[in-house]
Amino acid sequence: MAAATFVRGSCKTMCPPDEYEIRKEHNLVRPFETSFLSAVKCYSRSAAGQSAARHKNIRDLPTLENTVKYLFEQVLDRRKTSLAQLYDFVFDRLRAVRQDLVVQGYLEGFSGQRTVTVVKILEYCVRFYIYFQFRLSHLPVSAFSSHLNQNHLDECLSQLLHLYSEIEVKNRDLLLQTSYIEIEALDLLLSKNSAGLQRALRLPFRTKSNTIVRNSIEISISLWLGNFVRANHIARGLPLNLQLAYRAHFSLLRPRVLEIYERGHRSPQGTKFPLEKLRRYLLFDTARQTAEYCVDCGLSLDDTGSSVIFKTGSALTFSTSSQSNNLYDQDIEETLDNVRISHFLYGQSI
Amino acid sequence: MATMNLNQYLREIQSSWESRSGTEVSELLSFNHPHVMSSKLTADGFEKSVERLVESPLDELVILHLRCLNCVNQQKYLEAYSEQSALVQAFTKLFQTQKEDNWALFIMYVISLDLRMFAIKADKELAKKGADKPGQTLEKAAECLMGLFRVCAADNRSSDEDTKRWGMLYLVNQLFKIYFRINKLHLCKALIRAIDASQFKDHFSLSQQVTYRYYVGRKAIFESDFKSAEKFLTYAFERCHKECRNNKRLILIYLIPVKMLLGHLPTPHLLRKYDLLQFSEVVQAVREGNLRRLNNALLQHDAFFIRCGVYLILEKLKVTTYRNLFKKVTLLMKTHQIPIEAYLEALKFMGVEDIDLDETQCIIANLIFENKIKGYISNSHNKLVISKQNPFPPLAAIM
Repeated sequence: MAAATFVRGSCKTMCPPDEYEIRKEHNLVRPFETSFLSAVKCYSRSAAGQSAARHKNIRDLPTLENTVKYLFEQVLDRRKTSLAQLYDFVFDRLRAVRQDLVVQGYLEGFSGQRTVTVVKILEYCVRFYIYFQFRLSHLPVSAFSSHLNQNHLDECLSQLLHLYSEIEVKNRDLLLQTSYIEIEALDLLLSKNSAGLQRALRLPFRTKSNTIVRNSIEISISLWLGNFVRANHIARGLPLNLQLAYRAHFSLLRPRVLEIYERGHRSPQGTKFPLEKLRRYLLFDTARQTAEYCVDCGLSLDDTGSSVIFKTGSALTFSTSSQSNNLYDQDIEETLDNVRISHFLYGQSI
Repeated sequence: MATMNLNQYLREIQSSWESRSGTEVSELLSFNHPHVMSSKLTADGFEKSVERLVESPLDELVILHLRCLNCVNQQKYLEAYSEQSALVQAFTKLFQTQKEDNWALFIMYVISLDLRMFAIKADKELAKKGADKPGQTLEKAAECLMGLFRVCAADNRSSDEDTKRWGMLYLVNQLFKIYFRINKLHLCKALIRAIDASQFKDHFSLSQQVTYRYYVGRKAIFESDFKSAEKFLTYAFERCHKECRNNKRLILIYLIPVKMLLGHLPTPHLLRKYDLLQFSEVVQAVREGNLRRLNNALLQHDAFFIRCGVYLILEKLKVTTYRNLFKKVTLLMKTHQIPIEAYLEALKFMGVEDIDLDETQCIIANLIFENKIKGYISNSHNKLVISKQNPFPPLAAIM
């Protein structure tokens, strides 16, 4: 192991003083950062040929943990601006936190109780990406990049799965201090091909027999067989964060669901299919969104506008509809509005 | 052989080398040959004798082989692996300098096989010591074999007879075995492309082609490309030597589920002959359209099915089972417009838990989507309207 090449950070403040000075000078201090004490190190690509004093700009592990807590409790929970602006700021600062973890080698292998702390930080990040994926998905790409968010989520998940396996080999008891069950289930629910399912089927029995994992496997198999109704039904019983992940993944399957229903119901004279019913299958919030999605896919509505018409010979087009990624759901929004964001991110909102 | 002394061994390998007999040299460097039973080959100071009796560049290979043997005798597989790995690397260099010549291919075959075997044992040793990464030695072995592969693949100046490219498929098969074991299937892609592009594609030895198609077929299954999987695995099964019963059985573990999915159920005789009775309940359940029986059959042998990686295809047989069940219901109803409730009742009867009309409709829509039922669902009447002609086309005709 090339442990010697990693730096050990010595910075004890959320933002290294040097950086703060430079940013103040160039007017790069964000409104959330009213003084040095509330400034947080921002993300910047690691440059080659760093000076020997580099460790001064890297935060140590306790400071990183505190930084994350600060971002959650003092920035997100206070909700002084719109969710999109909060996201924009915290996304960047979390990225810098994760970078500090990487350069100190914390994601490589097992280092005792410290690894548990690292795992917790990554778990918080995972929930952060999922939470905002759900809440900001209706925004245009210029305001929220679902793609970028997804990339960061995937990266954290694979880092976590690696660290869990490290912990399992070295000290299995520590695994109980983590949320490995929840993350395994998340990884399965978000997996885009059957590889996730293959992996889940081979999990140890004690993991696989956990209700959450078992339900996630059943959901995933149902989706694999095209049984969306069953998958949606079981998903309603999942803990909230898993439900959000499921819905995010499901939105990618909407074209297939629509295609199957269209093929199953279309007739030469045209079959009317109620939008309200289709809304439930496609997991849209309103019949209006469903109608817009159908029209974008090249289908027509009946005179009353309450049904879509499936007619033999019409071809579906799956160019991106503005509704494709829309995960908005009134009931869940209301629930989320009543939950402190930090509680959700700490995994306490289940 | 087992009592061969060092001088005999060295003289023999030197003279085989001089007569460029690839098979003879390969045997004398193989761990599947009785000379490895002799305790006299690794006596102290064997290096001196080698230097005296064996000429360069063969001497280096022989010394590394005997060192490796020494480690194996002491069951130190980590060290055995590194000696063998050094041997393979030394051979790679040497092989590269033998222009327009491929008599040493046989040597390459045995040393790469042994390399993989020692890597497996070394990984087991590491696992006992609590290693970080399972399969790390195998991964290194794969890199080592890639070195050989590059030498073979790059040899495009020699005549068809003398080209080292004849060695490509053997190496690809060894690499497949490693990638499947360490679960890195994505690495197979480049190798498949190289073989597909090779002019010798259909002229490699039959045994190598059988192995190759077995793995390519399994990879196709993993990618849900069942039609190709059937093609590759059928080739492998039909051409596999009939004495190799265990290999035929391994092929069938994948071929049977794929065939079932495409509408061909195996005979009880076949399952008995190859000791694959784990599948027989599944077959019966699918044939009868009996979901309850299918679920029980999957549950009963799930460890076996999951270990082999066929569990998900067998799950997919549920769709075929729905089709068979619904066909029975439709025949009973004797009409072309069947209420969805009839199918719902049948599913409930089969013990499908908390199922409702919505889900039944979804299952039927899928069957229509996959062309397994010809017809459409009338949502307003809650009925399935089936085609007057052949509403349940045979699966083999659709896929």
